Amino acid sequence: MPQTSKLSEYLKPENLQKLARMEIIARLVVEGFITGMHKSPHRGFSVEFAEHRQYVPGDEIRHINWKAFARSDRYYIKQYEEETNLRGYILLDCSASMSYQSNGSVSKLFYGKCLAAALSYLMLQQQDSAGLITFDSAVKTYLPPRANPTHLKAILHQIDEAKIGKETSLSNIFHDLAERIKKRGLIIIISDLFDNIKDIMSGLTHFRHKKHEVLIFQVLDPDELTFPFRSWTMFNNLENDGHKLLTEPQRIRAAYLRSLNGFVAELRRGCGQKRIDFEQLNTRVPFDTALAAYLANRMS
Amino acid sequence: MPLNPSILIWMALAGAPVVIHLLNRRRYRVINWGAMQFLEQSVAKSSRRLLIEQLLILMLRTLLIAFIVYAMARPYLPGAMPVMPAARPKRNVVVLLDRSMSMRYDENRVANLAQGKEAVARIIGELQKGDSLNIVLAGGRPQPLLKEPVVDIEQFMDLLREVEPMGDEANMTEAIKEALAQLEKSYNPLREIYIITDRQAFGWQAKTETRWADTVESLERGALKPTLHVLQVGQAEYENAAVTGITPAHSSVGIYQPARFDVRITNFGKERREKVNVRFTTGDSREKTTQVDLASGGNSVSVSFEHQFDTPGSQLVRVSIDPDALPADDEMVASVDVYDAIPVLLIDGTGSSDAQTPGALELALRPRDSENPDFKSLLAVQVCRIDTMPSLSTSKFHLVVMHDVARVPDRQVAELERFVFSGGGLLVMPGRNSDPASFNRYLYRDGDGLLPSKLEQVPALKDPVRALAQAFTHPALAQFRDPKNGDFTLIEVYKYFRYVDPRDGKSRVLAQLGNSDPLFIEKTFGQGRVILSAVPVDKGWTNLQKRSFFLPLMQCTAYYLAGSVQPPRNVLLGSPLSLFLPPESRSRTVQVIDPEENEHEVKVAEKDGRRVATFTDTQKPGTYRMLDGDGKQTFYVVRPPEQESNIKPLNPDEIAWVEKTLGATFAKDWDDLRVRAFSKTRELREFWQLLIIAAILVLLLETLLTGRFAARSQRIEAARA
Repeated sequence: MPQTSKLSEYLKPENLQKLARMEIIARLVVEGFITGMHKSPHRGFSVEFAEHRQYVPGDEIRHINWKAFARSDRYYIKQYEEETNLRGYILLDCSASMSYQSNGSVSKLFYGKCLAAALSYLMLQQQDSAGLITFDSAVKTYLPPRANPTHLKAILHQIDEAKIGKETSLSNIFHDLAERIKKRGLIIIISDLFDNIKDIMSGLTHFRHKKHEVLIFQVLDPDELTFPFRSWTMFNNLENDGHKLLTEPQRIRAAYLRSLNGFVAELRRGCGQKRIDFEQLNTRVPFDTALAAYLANRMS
Repeated sequence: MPLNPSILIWMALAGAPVVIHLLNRRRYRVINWGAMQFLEQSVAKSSRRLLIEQLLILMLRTLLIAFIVYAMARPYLPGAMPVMPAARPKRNVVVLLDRSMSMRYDENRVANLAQGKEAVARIIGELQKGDSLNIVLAGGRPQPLLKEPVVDIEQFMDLLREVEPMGDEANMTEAIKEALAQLEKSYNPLREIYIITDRQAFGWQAKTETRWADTVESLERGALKPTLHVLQVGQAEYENAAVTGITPAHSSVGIYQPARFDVRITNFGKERREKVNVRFTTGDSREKTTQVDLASGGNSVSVSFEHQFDTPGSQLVRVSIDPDALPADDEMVASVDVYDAIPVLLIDGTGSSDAQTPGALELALRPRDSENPDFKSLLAVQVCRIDTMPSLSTSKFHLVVMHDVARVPDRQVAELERFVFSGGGLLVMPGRNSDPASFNRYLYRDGDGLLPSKLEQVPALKDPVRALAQAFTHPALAQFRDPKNGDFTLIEVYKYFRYVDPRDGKSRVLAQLGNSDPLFIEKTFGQGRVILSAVPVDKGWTNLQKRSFFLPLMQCTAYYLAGSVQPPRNVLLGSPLSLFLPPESRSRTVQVIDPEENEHEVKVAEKDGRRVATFTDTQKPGTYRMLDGDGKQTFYVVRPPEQESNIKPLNPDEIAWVEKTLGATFAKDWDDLRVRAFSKTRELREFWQLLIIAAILVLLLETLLTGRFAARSQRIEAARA
């Protein structure tokens, strides 16, 4: 299907970069993804038929199943399962480290923005409520979740406005938000998670303690994952001006990869124990992986 | 020190890996990085290991270069090495063959040089395949037969046959230096110098530490001190007499005038020789002969020959004695310039009030013979006053006489200085008109000017002071050593200029007064000479002009001073020959014909305002001729130093000194030398092969470690994938 394949193309981050409006990006991502699934997400989620029961006075007349009355000459009421309206909080990390961008990739922040846009679009499409929180060392914007489709505009506007900020302080943010978000919901964290692992885990535990579902998208650049540098390089810390490190990368590559992989493994293990969904995303990977992960989380 | 120490300069390359490492560190790229926490952890964990790895790799690379460079420098160890295969070390031989004049000595009908060549051939016969050889000829400027040592030693046999003796001394210090330079050009480890000589003491100059200092230093500096063997050819005792000097009595010789030549004959042998015939010939006369008895032990006898030349120009005078075993020095030739006139400028400052006295000086320079109206004086005198002085050049005047001149204006001072500097003669006789202050200021110039001394006028003396009679050695006054030719004590001086002899080495007192004040004092200025007289020709100052020897005194002085106008015609080996061309000559080149009748062309150059042709290649003794464009021929005679005729060999003391100083051994004869030099071989092993093996091992290790360090990263990446 040519249309499908065209839409799938938009799931590649580098192609989305050319599109100016987040709304279009979000729509393209979600539609492209859904077309690829051959299955509408509208069915089975929002209004689920549960059973018939006998009419009792006081029931609304409009809910009477007239077809069943015709067959059985009794009044039956169509009973629906109550809509469990999902409250999705998308936490988008805008710290300085998210600005890293290798050749041929998009920046981690741009990738995160696209992902946040797509997720919020998807949620609102499904009648769920979606909210957006951007942060660096502190919360920068807080859009509470709403199910109103017009809320999408507000979210996308905030996503557009999000700029690179200062250094990350995930633990404080997580604790802060865990206290602020009263109603339980789905916390979607989009971040590189470059912080102390114990602090991160304590923040995440706090969310879980408050009965939130948590889904983590760790966004990393291919350079960060493979460390391909060879010649002598001066690394300037993006989050701390003046902090520099001159080294011969190929010589410390092994140690670097070991350190990174150790960090990710520990994170993954910690998340597993706390029943937190963890998905690592490379900025070159199309968004369907992320959306699929989200849907999988919703299905569970 | 290795055999090829100059290669060690490249050892600096061993620093290249470190330099490249540091340069790389400076040429880094900059990346703004987010995942700093992992980077810091890895650097913290790996820094020590990285440093060790880096140091290890750098050390291996440095070592690799160092091994290769050191191997190329060819190091060695004395003695045998168990790990290295025992191969005969190759010889690096330089034979130094004396071909000085004394090597022509052939008492037994076999000249010393022929014996020397035979010894060289024997040494060549002892050499083996791979040995390198060069032959340095000592005599004159040391000259290697080939530019550098070669292993194809057979070619020397032909070259050796063509070696001819030189007329010069064998300068052993220089010759050994040249031999050492030749040794440096071959890389064979066993360095040996063989000196084949008649051991003439003169060439060795043993016991003169200063002369040998350079050579000894060169010997010590070498990577491997060479062994020196000296082999004597010829006999221990020599008999030799030689003509050791021909000196004309006057520096300038005129035609139609009796010219005297003093000839010196020296017997260097141990036996007295009697009735030795001495023959004197010139180009235009018959042979004159006399007989002398020669005492032994280096004693000399002087004989005089008188000759009158009929033609002006360059002439040769030849003196020979009965030939002996060394015929080269039994004849001596001298070149003489014969003049038909010597132009003299007399600048007379005497006023017209006393016209008689200046006439006396002019007459003394240009005598007239009233009985013979055809008589022509050799000195052609032109008289002028200082303000009408014509422009001076050595082609116009050979001599300027300044008599009683009051003061010399600036322009004339400069003109006179130029004239004397380029070879002209100047006789200064200040008198009653002269202003001493002006003379001191312009002509003495604190020692930088023409005058040999400052002037200070002495007031009239109460009692006249007389000149001293001395054993005059100066050529201008040598004639008056014999009082019969003129008794200086008869000279009375009533008033004079006192000259303070500055004792600065530039001036020389020729004659003195009784009170020790100088009468005549001389100074050399550039190429020319100046004589200053304390008295003028003035009867109020001296009675000199009344003395019978006044005329010969003035003439001798004038001949002497005029003699420096031309460059020397008789020079020692190696000294340049110069010909002054008259300004009107148009010749751009001068032809030179050497003793072997080879023609050379010399360009004429401007020097000190004169046109000069200079020929420098005078390594062969004998008669040279220079022909200018007008076909005028000038003879030059190039002579070896007279000591070369003294074939006295080194005495045991001197041999011991040479043996000690140079570490040389003197062989009694060929068999002795063969036993010493060729029967046993010095033990010496090179080990560059070991170094190359070490370098290869280091290279392998470096490749292995670099690969290993790189693989560690790859393994982790692979494991992650």
